[in-house]
Amino acid sequence: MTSSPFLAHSVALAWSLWSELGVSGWGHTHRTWFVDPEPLILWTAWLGDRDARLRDEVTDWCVTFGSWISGSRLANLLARTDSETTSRFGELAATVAAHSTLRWRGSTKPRSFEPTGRSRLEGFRAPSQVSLRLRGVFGVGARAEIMRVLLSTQDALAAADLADEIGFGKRIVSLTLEELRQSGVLREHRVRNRLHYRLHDRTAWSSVLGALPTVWPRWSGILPLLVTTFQGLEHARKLSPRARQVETHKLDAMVTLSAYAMGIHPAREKPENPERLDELESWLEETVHDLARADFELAPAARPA
Amino acid sequence: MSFDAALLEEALATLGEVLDARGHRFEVVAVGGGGLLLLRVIERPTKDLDLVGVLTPAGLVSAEPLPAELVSACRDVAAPLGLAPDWINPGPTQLLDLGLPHGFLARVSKRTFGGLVVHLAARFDQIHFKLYAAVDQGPRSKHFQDLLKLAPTPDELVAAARWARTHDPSDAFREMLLQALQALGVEVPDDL
Repeated sequence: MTSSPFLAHSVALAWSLWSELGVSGWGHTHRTWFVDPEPLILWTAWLGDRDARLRDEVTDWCVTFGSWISGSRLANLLARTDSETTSRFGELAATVAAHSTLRWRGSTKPRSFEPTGRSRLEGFRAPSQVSLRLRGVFGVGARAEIMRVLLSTQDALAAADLADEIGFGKRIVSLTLEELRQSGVLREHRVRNRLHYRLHDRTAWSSVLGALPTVWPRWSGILPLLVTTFQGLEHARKLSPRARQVETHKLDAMVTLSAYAMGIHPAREKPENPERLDELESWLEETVHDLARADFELAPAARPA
Repeated sequence: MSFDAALLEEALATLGEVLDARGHRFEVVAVGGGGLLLLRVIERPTKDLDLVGVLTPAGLVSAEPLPAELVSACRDVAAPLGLAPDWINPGPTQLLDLGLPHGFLARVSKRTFGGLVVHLAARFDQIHFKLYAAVDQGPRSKHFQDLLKLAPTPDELVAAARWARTHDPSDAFREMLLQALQALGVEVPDDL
């Protein structure tokens, strides 16, 4: 286990999110939050040996239920990530491949692993499992992800925005949007020179699909942000006082801007002097702690209306 | 925000440490008021540090544009210190295009700030630049005041005037140059 509070809270968050998806764990604090499997796999790979039991139970889940994972989406999100995550995911992908028929891109060398057989998935009825439920209905791919994003908002979105958010190519997203429009599921309207799409009857879909999350975090942005933030803190700690002040200020600005872009409103007030690494670090640790306890605010746009 | 010498030294030291931590190293050539401040020739505050060029293995190249990593580090340093984002910027790079005074690089003084090496134009060369700028901007300009602070000798001013003529050979400029030299008490040679 790790001694860093930031990592300890990160591990607690990972346990809670994975427990929602059926990994053998105790915490279920995110029952009403949307949980996104592919970014979670990449982030858990990055956490790696920081919690060996989490690593092994998640590997077990991937071996058992990996057919619910989109290999294309995983590869696309992997291409956006940092080298540390890429390297650690390589080992996870290889280990999963050694114990299943799954072949995820980026696979390197497997580690020694014995499946625990403890992961359970008995239906996808919980709000937190909406991602898997949509895959059961629409198949594993861009269609389920598009439906998931459009269920989460009343806003109309363009293909480029959707492609960025769900981690599929713009071409496949455009084709799928057009198919959904032709079938009457979506309505389109033009904003300047771009077509925007929204669900034709969101309420009807909500009642057909069952209980939906009340909170829809953009995990594909938030989890990589946690990695970058941790790496930034580690880097800043090693610097001279002058360079540390600059890099801490930069880290603070990056976290603030990214969090704003993702609709995250941390409950705690920011430190008065975020150029002090210890103050910023404490604030970030407490914020991840709040996230792990699901004690967190997201901007209205990130929630269903 | 303006710099005094202490703040400029602090900003450069910070920039040098940031560049060093990021694995970068740059050698730049500074002219103008910021350079004179670092040489302790003047005390008046200045807004920025003007760079005329960047020293590379291939020699001195124009500071326009500055390397992206240097620009990025300057901006990052500016924020916590409350400086303008372009507190280091490409200054009169046309000086490089038209030719620096002969032997310029051999006379610079070198200051090392971690990953940043600043080559400061020597007093002799600053007299050239300041005379050129003062002629252009008049006796009430900061350049003329800086020139007085440099306490140039008549021989130095004549050398500077000959160099300035290579940058602007027009009769109008020569006329203003002669007036400036007379104001400085220099006996103007016939062949200028």
